[in-house]
Amino acid sequence: MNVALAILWKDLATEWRGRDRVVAMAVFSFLVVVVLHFALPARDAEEARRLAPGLLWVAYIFAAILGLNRAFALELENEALAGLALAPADRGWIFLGKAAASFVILGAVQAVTAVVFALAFDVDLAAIAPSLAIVVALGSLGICAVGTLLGAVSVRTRYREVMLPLLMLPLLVPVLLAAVDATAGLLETGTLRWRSVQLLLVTDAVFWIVSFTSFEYVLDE
Amino acid sequence: MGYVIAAYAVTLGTAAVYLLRLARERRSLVRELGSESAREQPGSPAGASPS
Amino acid sequence: MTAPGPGPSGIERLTARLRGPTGWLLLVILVPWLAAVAWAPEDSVQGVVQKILYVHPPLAFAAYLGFLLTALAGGVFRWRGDEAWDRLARSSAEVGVLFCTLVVVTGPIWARGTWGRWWSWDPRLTVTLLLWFVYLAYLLLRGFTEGSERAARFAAVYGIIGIAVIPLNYFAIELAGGRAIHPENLARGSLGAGMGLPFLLGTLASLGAFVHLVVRRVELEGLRNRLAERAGADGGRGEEFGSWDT
Repeated sequence: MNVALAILWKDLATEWRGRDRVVAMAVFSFLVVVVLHFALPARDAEEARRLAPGLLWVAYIFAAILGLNRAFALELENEALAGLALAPADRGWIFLGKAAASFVILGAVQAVTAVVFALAFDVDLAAIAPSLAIVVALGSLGICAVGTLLGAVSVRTRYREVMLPLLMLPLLVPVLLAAVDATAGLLETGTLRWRSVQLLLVTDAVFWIVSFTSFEYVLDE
Repeated sequence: MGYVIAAYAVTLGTAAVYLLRLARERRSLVRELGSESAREQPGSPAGASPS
Repeated sequence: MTAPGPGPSGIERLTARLRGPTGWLLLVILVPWLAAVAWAPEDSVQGVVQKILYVHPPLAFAAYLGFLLTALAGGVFRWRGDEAWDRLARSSAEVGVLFCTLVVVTGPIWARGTWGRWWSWDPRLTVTLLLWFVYLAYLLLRGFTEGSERAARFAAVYGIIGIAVIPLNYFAIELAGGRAIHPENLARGSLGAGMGLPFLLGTLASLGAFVHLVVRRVELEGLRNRLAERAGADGGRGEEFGSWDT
């Protein structure tokens, strides 16, 4: 447990000092929002509301891939990954610490992106902010579980920046569809659609169990 | 009819090409292994035989 | 070194034993199957295009079997650490991707003839497509990872998630409103008179071909492995030869 907290604290402190990951992710997701706005211009408020959930989650997933690619790059550069694996602590705690740090960093980026998105697409996200935060958090939980496991894998392959999305995107389809559906429900009725939240919960549970139990296996001896 | 023939031709053709590739690689590996094992025992007459 | 000595491990002995019988099964069944397909009655609704049914679902059964086998063999490798299981997982993934590619190719050919368009975002089509992506990524991961032991560990983990995600994908696509238009021939028992035999022969041929190709692929991996081991052992001794000769 202490190991998880220590790694979480170390990652967040490093990030706070440099802020390079958050800044890169935020700028990138703003760019995605702007590009999407030009690629799929919404003619009226009705159309904007129809397009918004999908576009928002595309921006989130791209930002997440960017951030998760960096999550282990630092460890690889100063060979801390070997140190992490040698630590006597249970490697599951290392996973929890890394995933939690990615979750916090991604959450910060998502919050800022949501504001920019609401302005760019003229969608009122403020009214549904608390429920939207729950949906975004549930979606990010799944993304960070798979992303932390596969980030540790892809960082030690050739073409690692390409490998992570190739590995991750086909697995994230349930998260993406459920999150988009829940967000659309929020924009339409203002209430959470239980069916999609349920799928998010189940997907998160599956991804966390598999990733937590598999993580020790992907670190080198 | 054309659709049906196309579907079967693609399936059988691809499977045949894959099978041939596997067979060819197997042959070359077996040959390589054979020459390796001939060189492996320098003391034995088989290994010392002129090739 | 977890190498189980010079003798082939259990799984390799089993695959070696399957090589001949499955090959013969294939040879014997191929012509009767094609003949049965040719002689099968034409479907009253779909016409002749329906005959793709005798190859497309059998290929799909084999592809799904391949991915299941990949995950299972990967799981056993993870548990027992015997690399022969990893070679089985890898072979099964490669042949599975081949079969899945054929499923994804023959399906649209049939759909074009029946639905009038090549593709539909039906749940079953979409899940199969995603499965194809997952196992393509699996093969790419193996190709891009250095060190066979590490690649085997990574692949075992990925193969297991790949299977775990199938039901989630299914629910997700239904949630997103993918209309199910893929026929449920087997569930309805809608194979008409004279259609059962070609379907059965097709299924046997496809599963036989799958097993035969996997067995040959495993054999190839075993040979490669032996060659690599011998090259490693030979490298040291090769220098001794040199000094001996001169």
